[in-house]
Amino acid sequence: MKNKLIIVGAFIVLVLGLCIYEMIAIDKVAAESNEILTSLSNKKYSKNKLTELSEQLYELWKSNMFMMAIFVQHDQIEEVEASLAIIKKSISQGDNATFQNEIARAQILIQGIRDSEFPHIENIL
Amino acid sequence: MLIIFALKIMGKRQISELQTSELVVTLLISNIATIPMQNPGQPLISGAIPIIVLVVFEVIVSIIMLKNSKFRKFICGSPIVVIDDGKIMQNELKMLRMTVEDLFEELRQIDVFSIEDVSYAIVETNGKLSVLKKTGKQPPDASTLGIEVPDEGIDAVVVSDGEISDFSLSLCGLSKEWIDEVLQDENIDISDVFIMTANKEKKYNIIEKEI
Repeated sequence: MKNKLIIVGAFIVLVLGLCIYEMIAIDKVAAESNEILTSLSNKKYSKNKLTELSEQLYELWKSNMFMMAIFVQHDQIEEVEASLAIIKKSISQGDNATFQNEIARAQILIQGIRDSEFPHIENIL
Repeated sequence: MLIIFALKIMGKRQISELQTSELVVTLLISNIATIPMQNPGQPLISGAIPIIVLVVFEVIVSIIMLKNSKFRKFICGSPIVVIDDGKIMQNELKMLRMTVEDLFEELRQIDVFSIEDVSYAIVETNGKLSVLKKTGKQPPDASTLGIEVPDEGIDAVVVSDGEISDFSLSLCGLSKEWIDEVLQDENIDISDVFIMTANKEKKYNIIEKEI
């Protein structure tokens, strides 16, 4: 009985620890990504600056890929990755319409990941 | 591995002995475990966390049930007497949605072929039927016959395939030296022993390896 209680206690700590880590980590990535995406939508920036920002965003996403893959559905991660690749490509091609569309899409996708992993009542119901 | 570990924590019980809550948790666990296997896009942890949560829930519920009889009654229900002093309780059968045929089938499975032999029959919380036969219909045992039977304890396998089992030895209160002595008397090498059983009374049986 005592052993089972210890194992159960360890499980509770493990699950709570994982959930808290997941929420903090995803919130951080979503906030940083959104900040860069907001900067990208600034029309005053030069092409070089936009390329640099998009590279930065892509790197940020790549560096958190392993953590994200543990907690988030892989389809959702791949969708964001594809959107970030389109952003990079549209900057180099100077396709402003696609660029603006993909920024908005990426923001929605990232926000969607964040929202789906947080314990909202909407998620539970 | 996680599922095996989870079921081990939940306890050693057969499906037929599971309480309702345990059955629900077992079914849910097996269902949840298949989700990440079927969908490679699903992270493994999305299957592991619900399983852990269910096991934790099940262990907590079982501990509360152990401490609180009202809670136990609420979760598991109560045993129901379906034959009371030889009389079939029709209302109870109706409540259990159990037909007389079902009752007779259950009785036959425990070697009771006539309802007149039964004094009491109780449907336990796990769905099993317990029966107390009428006094005259019960097979006599040593105490009713007034015979004194010495307690020999259980026969345990003390040597299996040439290997001594310390657990079985302690169960019978025997020692390795005793085994050595016996094998020396029988002129058998321990590596030639297929199975050796023994009990508290130091009665033993040795089966030698044939190959």
